[in-house]
Amino acid sequence: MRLHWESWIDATHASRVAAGRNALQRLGMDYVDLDRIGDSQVDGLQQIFLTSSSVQGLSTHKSDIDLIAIGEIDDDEERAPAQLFMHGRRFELIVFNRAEVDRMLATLSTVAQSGILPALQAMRSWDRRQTIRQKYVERIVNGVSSTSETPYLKYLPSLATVWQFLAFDKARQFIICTFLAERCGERRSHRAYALRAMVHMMDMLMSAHGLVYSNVKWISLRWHKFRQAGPSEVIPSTLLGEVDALWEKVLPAYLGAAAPPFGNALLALFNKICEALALDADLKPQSAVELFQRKGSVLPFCGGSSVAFEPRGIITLFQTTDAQPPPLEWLNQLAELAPDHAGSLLRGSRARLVDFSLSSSPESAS
Amino acid sequence: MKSNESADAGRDAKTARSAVDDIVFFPGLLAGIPHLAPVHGRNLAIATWHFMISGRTFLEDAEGAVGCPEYMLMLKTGLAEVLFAADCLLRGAEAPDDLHRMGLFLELGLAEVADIPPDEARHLLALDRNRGDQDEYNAIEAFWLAAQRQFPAVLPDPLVAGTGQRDIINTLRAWSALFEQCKIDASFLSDLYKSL
Repeated sequence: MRLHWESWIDATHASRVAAGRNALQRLGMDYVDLDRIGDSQVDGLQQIFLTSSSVQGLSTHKSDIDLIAIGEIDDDEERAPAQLFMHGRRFELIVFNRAEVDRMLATLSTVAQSGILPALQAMRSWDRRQTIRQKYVERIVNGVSSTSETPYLKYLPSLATVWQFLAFDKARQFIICTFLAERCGERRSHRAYALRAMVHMMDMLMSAHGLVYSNVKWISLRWHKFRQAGPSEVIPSTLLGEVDALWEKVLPAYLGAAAPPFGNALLALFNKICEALALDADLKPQSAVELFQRKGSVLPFCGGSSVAFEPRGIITLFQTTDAQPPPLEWLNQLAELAPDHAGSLLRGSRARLVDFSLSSSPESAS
Repeated sequence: MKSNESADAGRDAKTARSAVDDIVFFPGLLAGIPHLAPVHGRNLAIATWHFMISGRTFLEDAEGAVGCPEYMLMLKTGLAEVLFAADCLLRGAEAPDDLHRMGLFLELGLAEVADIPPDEARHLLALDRNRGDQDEYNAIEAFWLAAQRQFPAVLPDPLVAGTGQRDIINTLRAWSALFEQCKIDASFLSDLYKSL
């Protein structure tokens, strides 16, 4: 079942405006005060938005107050947020011009409709190609103006779609690394990979509910609040319960309790989430052999060791057997990888010779 | 009740401080070990940036996260990732991708920031518990402040009202001049500036 976006956007508007008002009132301010800040800092101020934790209802007494202004600024002007200290807090203000905001939102819509692989490819190069960096895209869409309006919230369905793809790709990479770390016998690292896999699966599910916030540090808390808010209209409660149940096992392991292998449980959950969200969990990753050959070269170094060269200048020492990883085409092969093959893939990924992100796959490069 | 809580917090802070008092931070940084300029200059600047900016931001957020274990968990993790990135840079290596930072931290601990085995590093950064309480904040604050005290430079603090951001910009200008003299590609400084 899909989200009914029209009513969801209305509800989200009300929630963002109320959260922002609460955050400002704690500082003795209201939305109209944002104009005064903008006027004092921005040439030709057209609009100013309250963004981030303040409008997401997450801000603490130590949170920055993040503002985005639309004003007169050239596309090629250096962008860095100005920091202002007022009301005992730090405010961050960054300025964009109207044309680039419109251009960015049009691109976001196009990317969201392009399908998962082209979308991942576009987002991988987003910060190099766009004047508005990825983290500000979410802030603009969710931002509340000084007139208590959310004019860009209509782009939430596009943002949520793209965000779901990104979370899918990240969850998938962390699941792969969980398997590899477990298969190759590393003692502790799989706990961290498993935790992050869980976090990004939570993010996938929240994105399907139009809940998008760019910083990974909030996901666990946002999930907690999401689950407290009651049953979902989109995802069966049994599946959400399965996420909670696996989190209850992965978290203690991350904190140092006995840690069983998590790869199979994570992959099973991932497959169910993908099915619920109509995402293809079985997208084919690149063959690892192909990647080693394409991304770098491996040359003998000394007595059973090799040095791998990555085109951007990274070199890494491998045992020669490590430099011959097996083909890895489907996620369900991970559980059967031989320990030395798993180790070579994991080390290859760390050395940037193997990239498990689907944003790097040939299908998405076209 | 309030005074008891305050006394408990004081004791926790004292315990956390004593746990980090014996740690020698940055054992190799002033040892006179020769480094090649292009790699070490860049790495030293980025590692210093992590101590000036990235880690401080996590610590400040963590102060606001007391009482909220779900948020504190991710902030402790973020701080460990920043420390591990700085550790790799000070070793003369690249900081690993986000995908691997925490896995490698749990597997290897720290070496150049301070020589701390994995389980001890996890304990010192309160990553072996998840109450999200004042005790956890005290632990990571004590670790962070001890590291800052022993860092071989006074680190400008962008979180200080009035002068902080100007001090950071002056530092970036000094690095730019230094790297020009040393013929080091300083283009990465612009990325640091944008991330302010």
